[in-house]
Amino acid sequence: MITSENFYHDNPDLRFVMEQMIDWQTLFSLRGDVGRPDSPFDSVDEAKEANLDMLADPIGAISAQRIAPRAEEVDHLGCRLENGAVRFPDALQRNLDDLRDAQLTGLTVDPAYGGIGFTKTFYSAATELVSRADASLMNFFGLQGIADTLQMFASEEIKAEMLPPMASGELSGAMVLTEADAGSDLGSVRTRSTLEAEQDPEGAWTISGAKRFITNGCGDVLLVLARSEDPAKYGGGRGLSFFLVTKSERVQVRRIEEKLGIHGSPTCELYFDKAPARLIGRRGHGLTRYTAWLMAAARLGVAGQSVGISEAALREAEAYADEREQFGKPIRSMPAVASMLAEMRVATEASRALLYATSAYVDLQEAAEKFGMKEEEKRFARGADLLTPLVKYYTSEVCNRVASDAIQVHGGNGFMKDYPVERLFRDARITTIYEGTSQIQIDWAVIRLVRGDMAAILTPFGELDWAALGLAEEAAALSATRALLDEATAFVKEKGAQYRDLMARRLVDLALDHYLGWLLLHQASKWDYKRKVAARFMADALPRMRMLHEVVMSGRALELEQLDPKA
Amino acid sequence: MAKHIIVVVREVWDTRDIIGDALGADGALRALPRRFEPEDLNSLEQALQIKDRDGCKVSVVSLAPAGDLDVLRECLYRGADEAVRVVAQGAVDSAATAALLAAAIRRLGEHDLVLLGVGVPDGENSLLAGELAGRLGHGQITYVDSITELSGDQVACRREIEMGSEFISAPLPAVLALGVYLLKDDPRTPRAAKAMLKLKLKKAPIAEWTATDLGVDPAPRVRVAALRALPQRQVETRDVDPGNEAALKAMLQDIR
Repeated sequence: MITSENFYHDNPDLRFVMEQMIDWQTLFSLRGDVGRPDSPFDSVDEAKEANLDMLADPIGAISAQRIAPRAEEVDHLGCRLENGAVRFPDALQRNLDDLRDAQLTGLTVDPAYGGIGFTKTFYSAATELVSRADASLMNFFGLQGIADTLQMFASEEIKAEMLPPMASGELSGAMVLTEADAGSDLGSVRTRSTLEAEQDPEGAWTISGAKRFITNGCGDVLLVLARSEDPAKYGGGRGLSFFLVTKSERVQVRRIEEKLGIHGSPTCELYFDKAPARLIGRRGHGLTRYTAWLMAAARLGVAGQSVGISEAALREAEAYADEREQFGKPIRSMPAVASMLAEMRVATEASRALLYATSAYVDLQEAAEKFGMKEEEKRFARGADLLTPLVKYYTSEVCNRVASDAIQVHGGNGFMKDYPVERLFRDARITTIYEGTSQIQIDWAVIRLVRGDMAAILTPFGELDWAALGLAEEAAALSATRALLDEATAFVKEKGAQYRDLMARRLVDLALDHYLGWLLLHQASKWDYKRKVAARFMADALPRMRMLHEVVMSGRALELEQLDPKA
Repeated sequence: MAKHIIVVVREVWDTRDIIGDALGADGALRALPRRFEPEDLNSLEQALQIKDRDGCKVSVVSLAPAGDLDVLRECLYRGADEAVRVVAQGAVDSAATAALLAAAIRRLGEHDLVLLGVGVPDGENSLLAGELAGRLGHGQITYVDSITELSGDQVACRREIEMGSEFISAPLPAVLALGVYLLKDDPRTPRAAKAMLKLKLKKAPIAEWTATDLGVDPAPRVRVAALRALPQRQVETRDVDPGNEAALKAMLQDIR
């Protein structure tokens, strides 16, 4: 395994994005972070410097020096269920202690409740760094979204009680949504047979039933999606509410799953036996409002995790290709390997560009919402709602490809447990599945694409003077593909919902190629190295967009016919 | 009564990745990146662990202005209670360094332990711990690997020596020079900065004491006549027949 002193310092691309691509000025001014009496910063520059400094130490330092060296042991030992209690391997416990000691457990919690109150952009970067060290640890680190959800929607009483111990890392949380028969379709969370929320005459709730695939279900603070309304009156998602349940003997961990990867993350089956529960927010809004919000945050988290895995796998592959000699020379000097590595790098850097572009929209939306700026909130929300499924889909698919190719670069060695790439490959596999599969993300994104939400996101790139930036030719080539995207989108819209769903993946890929092209060109305007990255990306993306356009425009629904040779 | 531990911290050249001459073309020492002297950081960690466990006051003192990184602020970010910077003009030799630091330590008040790294940085002479002990009138233990007990008026340490370990105790107050050999995932590994402390103490004032404040004359008694780089060692590869004992012995002789 390659070693490093600091995962932030050793990563020029991440540093470039943080230093030059993020519009901290707008972010901090909109959030009102700077200059407030309770703010630790007097200026935007100072706040920016403190953010970047924090990414280096403690986050980059702990990730590199402590978490990464333990990843193999955590993966090897995994979590166990003993007498109804989940036992962590020592190395995992040390990771959790380190995160708590370094005060990294309340990054997005408001300082009024004992957190640091930093941006989602910062949190994404922290998630990326931790995940590069150990992807499975992100499933603890990323659960800070639970506190966020409480902060957004819970009563003042619950916030005052729960947030400080969550911010300090004393309590950990879990989002308790999935059931055996309610996975992607959470609206079918059941009533009598699986989960029941009853209200006694005093208005207190209890919850009964079983939940499955619950990451860190052994945690202390459980956010539970449960059916509270009479299904005859309010069926499906409208009958679901959100509840806070704290750990007690009324909540049992019945088993933990044996998994392909992320062994350091305990995946629990929970049984609630009339467990006392407190309602969060309004009845009947459990799925549509609160779960949707929590899931959006979780998707961004998985995107950060995915970029971290890509970065780790890419580095292992590059290091191995430099070191490994065959036919008397390092295998990196061979075109077949070099080309694979270049593709991995371009995809990783494109993932990262998309991650932080999305995080910025989420930050801006939250800030606008907080300060009641209706117009801006609507605009940023549209961007965030489209980009969140796109970034979750793209980065997770990329990390699977990069991790798989990293094994390929290692040859037979990569297949063995002696090298970390097989672990990265196994850990990567869940990212296209949990918090909504790639197919669900595409479904979500395509509706917004067809609605026309992409246009506003692309506007800023049209306003740049590309000739002055020395990128006129590249920008013109990319601009030309806008017509392909618009035409394909309009065509799909006209053909109706079934055709839209059939072509969704292609249309989304087309939109992604176009948008990523702009992101990388924009980067190229600020760092010469990125001109090569952008050129390499376009070399594939331009013809790919033409192909995707052609297939979408064919109007043929061939794939809907069953392919069955027996029929 | 809660103990008071004072840790001496230094910012030093990061000499880990030097390739080629240490002197530049102009004959001056090349500018190297700086880092927190690792053994001082180990010393701080030991003090902070005692603080976490039993509660005690941890003060840190450093001679020299804040350079690339501010070691004193780094200590505050990790949980030190008080930091003092000793500022002296011009070059300060080892004797003056010890005099200034001893005066600062005295001024920091009653204390039980003075910790510092075993000390390569001070002109590569490792004299600081001994000089401090002498000037303060404390006992001294060198090459301390870990502090095993601190109670009443005694400190007990494990000391790494050739071929093994030595367990030794000393009356308080004492000066301990630490040389910690860190194992994989060692619990003595220095902690990272704490995020909240970093935000809180970013601009906390750090007291500065001058030689005049401390009543010390920092005039150097050692004068550097010249600096000369060591000639680069020429390494040539030679094949030696592993079966030929005489040739092997000759090779060992050459290496020596």
